[in-house]
Amino acid sequence: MFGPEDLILTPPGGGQCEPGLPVEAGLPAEPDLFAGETTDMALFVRTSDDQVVTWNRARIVDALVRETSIDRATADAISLEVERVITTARIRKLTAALVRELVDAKLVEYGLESARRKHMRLGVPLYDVERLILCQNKENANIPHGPEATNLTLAESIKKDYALHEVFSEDVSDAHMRGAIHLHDLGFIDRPYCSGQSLEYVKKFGLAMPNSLAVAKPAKHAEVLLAHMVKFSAALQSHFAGAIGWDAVNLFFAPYIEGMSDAGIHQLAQMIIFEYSQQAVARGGQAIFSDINLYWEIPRHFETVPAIGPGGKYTGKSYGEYGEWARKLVWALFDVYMEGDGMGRPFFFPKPLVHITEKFFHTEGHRDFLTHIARCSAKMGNTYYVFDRGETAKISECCRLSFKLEKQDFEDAREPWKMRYSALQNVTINLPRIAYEAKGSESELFRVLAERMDTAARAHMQKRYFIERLLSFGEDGPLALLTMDRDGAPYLRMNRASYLIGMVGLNEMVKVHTGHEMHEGTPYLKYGLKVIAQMKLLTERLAEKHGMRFVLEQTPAESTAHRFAKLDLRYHSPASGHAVKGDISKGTVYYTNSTYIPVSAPVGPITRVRTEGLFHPMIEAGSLTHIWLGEAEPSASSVANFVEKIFRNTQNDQVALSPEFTACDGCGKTTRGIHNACPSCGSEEVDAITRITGYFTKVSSWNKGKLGELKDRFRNEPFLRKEEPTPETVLAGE
Amino acid sequence: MTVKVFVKDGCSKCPAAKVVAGKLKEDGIEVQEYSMETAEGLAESVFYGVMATPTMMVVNGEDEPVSAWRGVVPAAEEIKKAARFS
Ligand SMILES: [Zn+2]
Repeated sequence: MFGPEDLILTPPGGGQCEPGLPVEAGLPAEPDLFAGETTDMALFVRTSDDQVVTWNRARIVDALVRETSIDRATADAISLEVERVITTARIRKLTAALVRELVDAKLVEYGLESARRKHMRLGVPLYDVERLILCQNKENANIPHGPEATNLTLAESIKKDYALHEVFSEDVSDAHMRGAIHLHDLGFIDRPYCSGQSLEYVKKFGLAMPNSLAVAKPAKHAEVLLAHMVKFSAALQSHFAGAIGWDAVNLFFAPYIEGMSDAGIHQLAQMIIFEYSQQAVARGGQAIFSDINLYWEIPRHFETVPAIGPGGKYTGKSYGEYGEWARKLVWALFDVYMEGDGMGRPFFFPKPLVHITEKFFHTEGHRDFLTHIARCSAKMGNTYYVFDRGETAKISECCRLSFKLEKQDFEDAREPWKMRYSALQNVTINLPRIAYEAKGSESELFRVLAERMDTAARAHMQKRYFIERLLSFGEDGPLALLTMDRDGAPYLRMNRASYLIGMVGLNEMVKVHTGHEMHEGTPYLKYGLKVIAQMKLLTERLAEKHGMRFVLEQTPAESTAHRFAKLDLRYHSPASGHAVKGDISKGTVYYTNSTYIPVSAPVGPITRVRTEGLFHPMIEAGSLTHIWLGEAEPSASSVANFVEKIFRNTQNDQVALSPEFTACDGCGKTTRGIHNACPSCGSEEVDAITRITGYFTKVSSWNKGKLGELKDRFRNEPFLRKEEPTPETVLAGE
Repeated sequence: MTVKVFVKDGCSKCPAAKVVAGKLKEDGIEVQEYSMETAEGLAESVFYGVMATPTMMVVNGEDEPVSAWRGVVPAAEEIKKAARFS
């Protein structure tokens, strides 16, 4: 009997993650497992003593006719030939998978390629399964290694195959496989990308999700509202591939905390952050990629909106009257962020996005608050500053995905539960690839760029068609949650969905084409701007042509920057060898993310923010500049001044400061900077922690490309050091 | 000194800006015209933080802006004056 215990291998030695040889070239399949499945499986499943139960070649004929629509005579001929092969080869351990492969080989011989595609089997080689179970997945550092994570990865790999074969056309799939473009989240092909919403939806309608066992009425207490919010986030996480964002969280909580003591508010703030950061029990052991949007002022578009309070009832006041309570909560949230978790490490989720607007600077106490969040930024790095200049207002979702509110949105703002936004998919273009192909010709470069944008648009139409098919099954279908209708429109408002087109390696594209990187001179920077300007104009044209909301996005490119660099080394050597970043001999290669100037460029923070910010007005779905702090801890007041300067004097959309930490498993202390051993107790059982792309995580889980980048990051250590030190300069235990 | 003129299709004051640009050219001043509908024009406008059309901008030999008129059309004389001053 071949049971699951046979799969438990001796752990590989030396900390290396190389699975041993397969224990036995067979799968631990029980006959019952396949009962009721496709005919061929039921027929050829091996029994425990390796016998073929019944052989009936008619099953092959039936399968071929049913699945591929070839004629019965051809199917019959194929089944006979396969039977002959099996008999001649005296195959003892016949499996359903093997028979299917033999049939597919015959289809190839017959030149029946389209039939073969339809008949093909999607699955994972034994070797890969073993690696997955034993080794850490480094695609996404947010997924810890464990049985749930393995399930997720296995399911993803099959859905990815399915997507590439069935959802996307051959040219689109090929472009992805070759690394000319990257289709993100293929393993989540049956979900949209990300979702942003308002707490008002949960406050007004309670928790009444399709297929859920119990229906909860609108919350009466702040703690219950939080529980609803977290449960709803978890439900959304299982319907979206990426981030789940919440708008103006402190403001919408305000009617529930009116009159609460400071201690009570602090406790609620603690619960909000701990609930989200500990949701790692959810999908595949992956924490919910969650964003909370926060405001010090009352956003103009909510000032006169009637407030919803306990029980989902209107309180009789407008949100304009809840400023005091909204401010108390957001202050308390940053108190908690600043404390860090039980070990003094920064919280990874939820990410706090503070909106800085003109009104912010006219709201009482803004200076103190700015210093408060700046201190958190310098000490723990959590704070994201989102700059909404002029009349724009935004909801930020993902690493840097945001939705600019349009006229219709400001009308929806009267009934904030209607404010639900989604991006359906993200497609990234490999920019350096275009420069290799153009071989120095500018007209060719722009021609290929337009061609790639077209391919991206086609990919989006194909995904939209697929999601629409799933949605058409309504509340009985796989996306029931997204079709639920509580306010006259389905939860997922397809007519408002965005389709993201991202880019990786603008800097290397400019280098290949002009011989210089963008920070090396104005003409090179201007060339980069011209490429993005062209992409922006093309997106507008495509949007008009197809009636879809295509927008540019800065791809977070956690693994894409590495994947593109690797593939270009394969297909475009030697040119690519001079362009990719990182160490080729170690395989830690990468391209610079999106429109960034290289992480290693020795430029000060203000120059970086200003230069990168030049691109931001053209990237509608949001952008972000990282300031890598390393060990340095600037004073709160200098960070606050810096933030105000960014708002006033640049076009930058969003900024975050990223310190680095070492958390010790030995003594439990967290120290500033990345060290091989704990500076406090000397233990080598340490985890380095810093931002990978848009979120904090342990460095040990990073992929090779990101490790290469980490090494190159130019830390802005002298960053405004002249300012007076604050008591927070030294972390506990340092 | 160079005068940069940023225009866009369908912007009401842009034709007037083009007329002024024409006069400056006649007087031998170097004028560069950028349309926001082209990649080059959009890139240039973003580089100089131009958010409104028409915008007329005087830049020095280092390509640094000296004066700018955003969303308004100055008289040719006013631009010449600014250009001569610096
Ligand atoms: Zn220690």
